[in-house]
Amino acid sequence: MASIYSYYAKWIREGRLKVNSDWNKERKVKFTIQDPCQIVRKSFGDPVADDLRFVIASAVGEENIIEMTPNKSNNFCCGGGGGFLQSGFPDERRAYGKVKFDQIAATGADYCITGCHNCHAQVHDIGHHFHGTYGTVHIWTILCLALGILGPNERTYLGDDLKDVNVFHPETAL
Amino acid sequence: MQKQQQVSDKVLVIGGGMGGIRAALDLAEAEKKVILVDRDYTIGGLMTQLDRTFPTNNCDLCTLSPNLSEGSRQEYIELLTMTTVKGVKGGKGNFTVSMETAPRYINLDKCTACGECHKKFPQCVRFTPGLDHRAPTCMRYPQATPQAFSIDLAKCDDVEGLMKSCPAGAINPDDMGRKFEVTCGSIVLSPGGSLFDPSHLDYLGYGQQPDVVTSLQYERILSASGPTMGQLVRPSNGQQPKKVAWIQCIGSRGLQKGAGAYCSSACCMFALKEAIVTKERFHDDIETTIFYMDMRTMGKDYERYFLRAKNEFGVRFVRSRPHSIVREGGAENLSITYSCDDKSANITEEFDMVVLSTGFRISDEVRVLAGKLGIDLNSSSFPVTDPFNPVATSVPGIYVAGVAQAPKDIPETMVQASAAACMAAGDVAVPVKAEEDREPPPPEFATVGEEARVGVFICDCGENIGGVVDAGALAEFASQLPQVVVSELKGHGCSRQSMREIQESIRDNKLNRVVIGGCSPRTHETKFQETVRAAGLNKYLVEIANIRDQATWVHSNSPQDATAKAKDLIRMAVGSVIRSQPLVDQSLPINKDILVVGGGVAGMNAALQLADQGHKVYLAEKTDKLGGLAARIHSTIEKGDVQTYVKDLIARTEAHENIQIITRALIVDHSGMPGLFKTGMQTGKQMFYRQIEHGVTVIATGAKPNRPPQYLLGENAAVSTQLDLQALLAEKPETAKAWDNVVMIQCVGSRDDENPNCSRICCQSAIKNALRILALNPEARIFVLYRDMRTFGFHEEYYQKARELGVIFVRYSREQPPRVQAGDGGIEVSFTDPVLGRELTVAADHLCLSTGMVADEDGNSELAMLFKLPRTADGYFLEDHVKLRPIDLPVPGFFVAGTAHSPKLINESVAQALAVAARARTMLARDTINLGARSAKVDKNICAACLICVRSCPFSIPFINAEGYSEIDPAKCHGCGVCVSACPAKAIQLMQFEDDRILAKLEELFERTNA
Repeated sequence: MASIYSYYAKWIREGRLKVNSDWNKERKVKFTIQDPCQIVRKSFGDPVADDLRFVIASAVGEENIIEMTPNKSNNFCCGGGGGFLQSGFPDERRAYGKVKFDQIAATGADYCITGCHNCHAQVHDIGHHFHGTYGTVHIWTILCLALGILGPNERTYLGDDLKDVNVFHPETAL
Repeated sequence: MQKQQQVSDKVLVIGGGMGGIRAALDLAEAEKKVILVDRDYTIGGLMTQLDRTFPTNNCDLCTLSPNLSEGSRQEYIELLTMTTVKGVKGGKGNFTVSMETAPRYINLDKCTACGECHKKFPQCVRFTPGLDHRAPTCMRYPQATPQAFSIDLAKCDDVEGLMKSCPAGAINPDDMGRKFEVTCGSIVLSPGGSLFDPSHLDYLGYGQQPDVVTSLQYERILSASGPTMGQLVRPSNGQQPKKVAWIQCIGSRGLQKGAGAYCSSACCMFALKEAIVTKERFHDDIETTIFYMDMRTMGKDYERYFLRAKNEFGVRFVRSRPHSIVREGGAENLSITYSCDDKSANITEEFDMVVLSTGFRISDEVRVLAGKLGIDLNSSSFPVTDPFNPVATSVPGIYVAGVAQAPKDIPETMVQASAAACMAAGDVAVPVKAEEDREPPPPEFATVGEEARVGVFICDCGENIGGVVDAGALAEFASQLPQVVVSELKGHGCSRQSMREIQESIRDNKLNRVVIGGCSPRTHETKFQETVRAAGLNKYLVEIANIRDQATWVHSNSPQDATAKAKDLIRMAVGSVIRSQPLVDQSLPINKDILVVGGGVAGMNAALQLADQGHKVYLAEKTDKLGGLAARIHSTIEKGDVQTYVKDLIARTEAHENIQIITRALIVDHSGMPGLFKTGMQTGKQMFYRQIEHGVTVIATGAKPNRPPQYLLGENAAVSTQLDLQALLAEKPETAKAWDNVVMIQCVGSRDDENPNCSRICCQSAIKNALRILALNPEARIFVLYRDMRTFGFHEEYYQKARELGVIFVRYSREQPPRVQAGDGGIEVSFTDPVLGRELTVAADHLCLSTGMVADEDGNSELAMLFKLPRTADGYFLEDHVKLRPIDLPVPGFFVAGTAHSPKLINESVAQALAVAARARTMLARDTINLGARSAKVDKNICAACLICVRSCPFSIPFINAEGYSEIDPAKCHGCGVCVSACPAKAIQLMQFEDDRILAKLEELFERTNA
């Protein structure tokens, strides 16, 4: 059993996923990375976190990553796991999420990349709640963007700065 | 004719730590041949690195070194250090083991441990376990056995110089090591555990931050023999720390990467000890905080130790697993981030030093060794052992003891070591008594009434003495003293050559008293006693003036003072030895029959082991049948079938020709001395009186299941104890199928004011029964209300499993216990959930109370009075030494096994019973018992029978005899001297320490002052 991040990394190294970060050479949009607890801290550890970084660096450019502190296996929980997003108690959930929000805000990144659906929902929610300036994107979105296969209707979580980058129109492409 | 398999008469003990030493000594004292191997250059293991031990907070080396030196003296023990096992062939009765000894580069016969090489080649090697500078020649600690150095040749760049530094010429750089084979009938495996290495856990900062240390490193910092000479200072800046934190469960309970799934059992106690010792040093000038998950103080009287730490020493306890230890850029202190119940936020707090309580693990080396031995290992790489015999591995003839069996502390290691010795002894042939290879010593020549002729021999001990004072001048000085016939300088008095010369001098000069001006009697008295005895002199006519430790070592900066003091010491020794008298060691014939009191699992096991060895055993049981408490238990947590086991045990006991079972036995009187006891009892329905003569007494009277009248116990049918519940689940399993909610409450009748101690067994009982209920009824909801879950060792894995299966564990505090009332739908149990911060009520179909065990107060107090045995505050029998002698009772000839000692599990009781058998055999192997010569002696012409000695003796030995004066049985006297100092008529003298000898010393000491 392996994480999808490790497969992405493998496929990129093998040249099977032709990811390109040139789109961000000029733009210099900054990204930070949320390490999901279940994949990193609680199971595969730092090696998979390194794979995750390799994938994101391939997609956005290494120089455009700003790390949170602490990160990888020592990362803080987003505060949305364990059923918390569904269980009610939103005030408590956001209070826990404040740690994560402060961590993300401290990086000054434009986007926080999450690879976990739970983290995505929580990081997005606390961003709004605490009036953050960052956007929240799933790793899948940014990977497709870098592959040039992200359609116009798949950009809900992208800000205006990325709305028109590498737009893929299947009807015209075919 | 069938070829008979030849059974070897040797036992191989692998590992020379505390466990291995204990096993080897027990075997040797029972006259079995032992080969003790250790890969290290000295024996002693982990314990020699500790500063102090809980719960007495004694310094370790003092309690340990007698054991170590015994180890080298025993004639039955062959000690092989720096030796590893390479391969094993054969089976029980006849193993062939190949071994390899690494070169020491020092000739053990020549080395006198003078320390010259150590002095000239200091401080250039770092040595794990850290914080400890070592020279290339390395003796680990001053009391090391063998008393010799060893050289790390790879670290030495001036071999010539090193060789020249040795005055004894003992250094041999061409030492080759050797490979060889030995045969043995059985093997005791006691290689110990290694400690978890937290280097890879970056959030702990270990390895990056010098002020983050492991508990063993902290121990070394506290230790007087450690790198800071006992100064407690921060490694980063050499300053005294003001705030120290301990973090528990590092490498245990499956928490970190690479951690064992088990609990390491000893870390809570050693953290408490380190915190208390720290507090003792600096009092209010230091803060100590322990971050813990559950405080696991489940050993005998350990809970009291925990309470002392909290209430008397003010150690602070925080229930939390800290997130990280970091040092912010530029900061001097470490920041620990953690959270706890009362606040849903991270707390960051600064500390000067952080101690990681690292757990035990099995080293790769031991895993490889286990593979060579062919024994099965469990998922954590510990040997799989028999459910009812924790020292028996999967291979017959191979036994395991100590931390290598499961994580544990020292007393349990000692118990298992003796138990393994008992099992191993059963597999080997009785050694053929070799014709005495040594000539018997010549008869002692008469000295009484002769004019004293003293010979003084001064050692220069290399530079140790000769480098500070003029040893030749000391010898010259001594020759002027009255009654000194000979006074000579000996280089190293303890070398074989010098010993021979001393013996010749005794013969040639007709010496009848000897004084050695040299080193410590602690290490060398026996040696010199043997030397003079071999020359025909009574061994109590030699006296050692310790001019090395007490003069040249402590006053090395001031040769003049050192010389003056050395002269005083020599003069005192001469004055004293002149008045010394030849003494005879007390010895008594031994009755080899045994009385075992108590017919439970412990009593029966001890009886069977001893009976198998051919001893006649009387097994006295209070009730009308054997089996004890275990007869009411169905299964262990590991699913061992207790009923079958106990039935089999009873059958074997009843059928044994050497065991006489006495049921309904009520002990009514007791007299005699070790080896010659007489115990009277009333037996059977008619209460007939009978008296038994025996040499050894085993106390295995057990404990009682506790039934405190709390939480409706005894009032409501839906409330039971864990003991009742396990019987119900075994006998009427369908009952549990109807249960929706079950609540268990832990620590009922334990850890409270009335019974402050922990009952040890209840946490695992609760989990055992919870798992059983879920197996019968997977839909049942089980709530366990606990204070600390104490699932030590491998029980932790069952705790983990119970949580996985959905058992809900809710903590409660002693101040806020659960409340229980009978309701319509069953029992309503209300409690506060500390995570939710809310009061909850569960309507339980069944309420089960974990009530544990209590000592049988009536029975034990009666026996304690008859046998003159001390007990703990809560009524259990108190052993001779809670750390190193957990089986021997303070009265010689008495041993304790099972729950009469403290609450314990069945397999722990079995281990202790086997251990009792091993300890008893050390006494019974000999036909007579040597009691030494130090005992109090009454002069009947002076004694006024005032009873002061009778009242002051802590052991109640003196009595007024028929002739009307005080009599002290030398066989029972402990030689403590209390009566001697208390006697107003000065009618009592302590042999070896007679008044006139002490006064002579004082006169010699003050002669100069008076003049």
